[in-house]
Amino acid sequence: MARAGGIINAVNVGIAVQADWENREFISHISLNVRRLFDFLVQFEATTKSKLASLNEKLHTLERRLELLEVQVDTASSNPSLFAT
Amino acid sequence: MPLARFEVRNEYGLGLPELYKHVDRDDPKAVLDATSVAGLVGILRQLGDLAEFAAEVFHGLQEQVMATACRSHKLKLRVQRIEVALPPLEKAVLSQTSHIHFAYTAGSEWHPRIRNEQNHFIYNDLPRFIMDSYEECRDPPRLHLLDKFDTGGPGSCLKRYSDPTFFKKASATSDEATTERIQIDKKARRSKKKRSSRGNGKLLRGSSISNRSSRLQFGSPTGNGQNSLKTASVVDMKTNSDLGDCSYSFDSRNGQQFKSHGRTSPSHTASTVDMTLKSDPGDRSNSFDSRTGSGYIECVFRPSSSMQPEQPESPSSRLIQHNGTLDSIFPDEQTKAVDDNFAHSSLQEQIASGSSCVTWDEKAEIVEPSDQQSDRDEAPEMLSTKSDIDTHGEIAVSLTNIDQMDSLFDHENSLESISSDNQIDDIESEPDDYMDALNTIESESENDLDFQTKREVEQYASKINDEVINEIHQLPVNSSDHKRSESESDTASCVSSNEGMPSNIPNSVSPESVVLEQIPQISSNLDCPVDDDFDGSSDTLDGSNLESVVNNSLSSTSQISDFKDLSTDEIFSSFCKSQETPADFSGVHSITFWTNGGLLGLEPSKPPDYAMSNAVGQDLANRSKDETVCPSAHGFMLKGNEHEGKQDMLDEKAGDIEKHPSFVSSTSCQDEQEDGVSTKKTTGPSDTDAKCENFSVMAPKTAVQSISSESNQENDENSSLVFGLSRRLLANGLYKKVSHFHDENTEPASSMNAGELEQFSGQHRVVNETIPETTFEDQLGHCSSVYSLTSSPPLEHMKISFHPLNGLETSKLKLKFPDRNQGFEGMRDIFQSFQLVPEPNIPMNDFGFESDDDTFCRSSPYISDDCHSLHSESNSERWESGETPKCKDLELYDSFCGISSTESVYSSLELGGATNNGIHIDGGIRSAKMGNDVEPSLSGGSLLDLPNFDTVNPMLQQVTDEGSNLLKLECSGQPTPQLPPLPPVQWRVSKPHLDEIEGKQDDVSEALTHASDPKYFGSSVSQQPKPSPEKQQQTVKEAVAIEQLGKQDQQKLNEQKEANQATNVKEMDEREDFLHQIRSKSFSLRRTMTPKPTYAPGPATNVKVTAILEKANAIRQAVGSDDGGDDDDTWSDA
Repeated sequence: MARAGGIINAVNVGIAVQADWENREFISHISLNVRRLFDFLVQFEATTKSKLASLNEKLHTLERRLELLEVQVDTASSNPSLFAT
Repeated sequence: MPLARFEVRNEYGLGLPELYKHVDRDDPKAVLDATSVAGLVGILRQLGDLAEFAAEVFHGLQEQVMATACRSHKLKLRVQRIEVALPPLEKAVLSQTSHIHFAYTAGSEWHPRIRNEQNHFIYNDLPRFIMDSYEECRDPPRLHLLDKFDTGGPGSCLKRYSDPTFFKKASATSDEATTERIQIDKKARRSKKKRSSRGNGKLLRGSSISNRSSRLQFGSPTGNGQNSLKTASVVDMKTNSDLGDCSYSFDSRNGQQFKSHGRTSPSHTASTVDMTLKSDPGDRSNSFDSRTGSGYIECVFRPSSSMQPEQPESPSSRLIQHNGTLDSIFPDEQTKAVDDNFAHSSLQEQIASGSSCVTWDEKAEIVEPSDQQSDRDEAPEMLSTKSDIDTHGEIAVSLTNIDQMDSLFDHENSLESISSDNQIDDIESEPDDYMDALNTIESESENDLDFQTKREVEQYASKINDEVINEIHQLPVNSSDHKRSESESDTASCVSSNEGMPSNIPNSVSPESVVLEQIPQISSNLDCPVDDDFDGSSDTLDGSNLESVVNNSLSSTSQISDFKDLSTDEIFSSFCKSQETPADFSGVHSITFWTNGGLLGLEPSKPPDYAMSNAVGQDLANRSKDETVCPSAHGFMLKGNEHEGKQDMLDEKAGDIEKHPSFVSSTSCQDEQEDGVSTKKTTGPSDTDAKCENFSVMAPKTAVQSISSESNQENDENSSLVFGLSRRLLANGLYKKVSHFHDENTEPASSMNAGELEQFSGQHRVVNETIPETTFEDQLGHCSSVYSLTSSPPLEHMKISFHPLNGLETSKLKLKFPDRNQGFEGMRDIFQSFQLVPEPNIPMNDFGFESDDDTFCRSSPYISDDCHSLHSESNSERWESGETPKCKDLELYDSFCGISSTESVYSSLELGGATNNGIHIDGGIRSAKMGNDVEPSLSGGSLLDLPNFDTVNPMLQQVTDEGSNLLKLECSGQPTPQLPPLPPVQWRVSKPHLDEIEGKQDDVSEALTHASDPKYFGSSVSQQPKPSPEKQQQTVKEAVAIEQLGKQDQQKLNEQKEANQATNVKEMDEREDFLHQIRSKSFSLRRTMTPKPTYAPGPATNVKVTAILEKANAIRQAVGSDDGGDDDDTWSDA
């Protein structure tokens, strides 16, 4: 009876350790994927902001051009004499 | 430190440890399960963090995207609006057939909102994660606890650990370094330019340089003037500007003056002003230290400073008063001159023209003395302490003030002032000053002459005022005390002032100083200063000079204060006059500088240039003085009285009162002074001898002029220069002073010939003799003659100076025309300009003659070498040897140059005066054309000299008859003044020739001269415009003859003069020869000048005259070389 109890305990410990390994592997995978998510978020944020910045810059350029165009248009529209030959 | 956007912690770390700590350790499975659960919990936490982080990221992104979307939406809206507004415009544009006109449309003024591209990184823009790092960081270590062990003070230790301001400072320093480098480069460039300009045109620098040189000279005692010259930097001089050194009042003055100068004329005038200011404080400091003490000076200056702001106004008020007084006493011309001076006195006006600025400075200084006097009146304690000195010195102070004003021009004064300035400003400025020493010395010599004249004028004015006040007004305690109680002291003060002038002119001063010695401290001081000035080495001498100057200034100031107290217009008028004269001088100086620098470009002959400028300035000053003085016959009387009293004092002291009997009035006073000088010579030591020489030189000049045409030739040159001064002096009753000053000034030149001094003394005696006989005008003429005589020696130097004279004339013309003072100067200039302007050819000839004369004189003795290089030292040495061995001691070539310059100035003045004299002589002998021309202008206008000359001519003739022996002596003694005789003859002969040849040119020149004359002379000159060109021609001829004579040995010249006098025919022949030479020259000139005749003789002659002068100068230069040979030829012919 002692041998059988001892063997059983050993098997149970082995099983427990293996199960622990499996659990740890699972947890590590999940953790790694979480980290990847973080990394993704960071990269996504950076790229997104970069693109947004470029977009904003383009918008700024467009705004200036539009402002100039508006002034020109306003000037031209306000001074019809310019077109009076 | 890497920036972490987000930190993901370990999953097991996120799980609570309690999950597996409380598990039964015997059951391994439970333990493992517990850890697994903890891991899972950690994962859940990470997922939570991930969700949070993702929410943050997406939130930010959403915001930005929303902003961008908003902007895009707005853009969309704007685009839509434009799209709506564009079609009609497009239609309109497309409808245009030609679009070119759009290119010429103004367009729209629109500026986009430019973003501030700086401050990209501002605190508010920091990302949060970066802000977290700042927030989480720890404070720096408590290094402040170690500050007590650090010498750097509190915070030094912490700065060593971490200095947040490091980059800021570093950037600032880098910027500063760059800026400093730029500034230094600019300064260096400026200094180089200035130096180059100096080298090219010493005359231009003359005023400023002279001032500087004066400093240099003063500094010379401490160091070598040459060294200082080397290191001298105009900028430094300016920077020194004595402002810091001077009292506050001086600073303010200086600042004003500087401003004015800086505005009108460059640093030169400003520097001159500074010099004057410096000289004043320095002189005072020195003199006061020895005598009254610096405090006195400070008091004076402080008051002046306090008054300075008021000065502009006070001068005007004074001028107004002067106008009244002047109207009564002085002719309108004087008042005008005064007005002009005052107007110029205004800073702005001063700014208008350098000369005017100078004059203004002088005026300001004069005013300052008055202010000082007022201060003295207010605080007589200071004065009381120095009552004697003050009384004597007040006049001297006034003189010194004027002198200080003049000191800019006066070498000695400037030296003194410089020395004082150096003391104040430290030695730093000395090297710079030394750099300018040579130039400054020359200019100083010129300035000295001006100063002398100014001082004389001031003294006379002050004396006259004092006398008038004493007579008419009851002088206040101070004034009365000074004047009455010190009638002797007044005389002594006058003498001291005169001495101060001599001190400026070391040689002449020394004799006076001897007289002064009899007086009180002042005389001794004056003596010392004189010696010092010439020596330029002994500080004590400088101090004495300063003292003398201070005394003069004090005396003047006391007088002024008295006048103020009395509120007598006379005083103001006197001040105004004195100021005017200084202004004239200053203007002249500036002019001279200008001319020297630019026109002739006779760089080698800078000293003569200075002399010429000085001469011109003297002429102008003389004119102004004459103008102012002539009307003020009362002043003469008073002055004469004063002078008599002084002379009496002197006689008592010196024991030589022979002159006293002869002293009829102011003129007699001059004689007395001269006599006193002569007596001093006899009694006094070498110093007195030098003074006597100076005086004698002056007297001899006058005597020579009056005596014989030969002497006239020389005298003409000398007298031309001298005349103006002498005339002014005489008119102002300053004859004595002026003559003394001039004598002194000329003496340096004449002193070159030590033997001449004796002759001069004899001449002085003769003059004294003649003077009593002659009227005031005669005396004036004598004075002028005396000047001419004295100036004759300078004529050698004048060679160079002549060239500068032309330039000076031009510059003067420019300057003068705008300003009244300048106008007066312009009068002189006009004379010169007459020579130059009206007769482009003739003037050229004149100039050529002048230059020839100069060259002659120098060629025979030193010629250009002296002028050009330190060789002038030999000349100066000669002169100085005659004048003052002190100069030799100094060996300051600068001083020599200054002397030479003074001489040259005299010569230049002589040239002008010579022309005048020659005109007078011609008028008297040949025809009254010249005389008429000159006389009317003189009599009617400011040119009192001319009438004086006219009167003097007969008187001189008489004198010559009487003192022919003296003339002979003078001639023998003064080889330099040989020229006079020829010019008249040449004029006579040349007049027709020139007239015939030049013809239209003469007319044009006449018109120009007329235009210029009216300005300067007023109406008198305009009345006879034609004669003026003739006169100019004559003067030119005379100048040519003078040049020839100058080339010839003095003995030969004297002999020739005598021969000329004896036989006019021979002279005529010689003159004809000269005229032929001149004609040949004039022909070349005519070619160049032919286009000039187009100049309309209209009133707008200022510009025209300037242009003409420039042309004439150019012609001179061209002819100058020719003249040199021609002169030599003529000389050989002669």
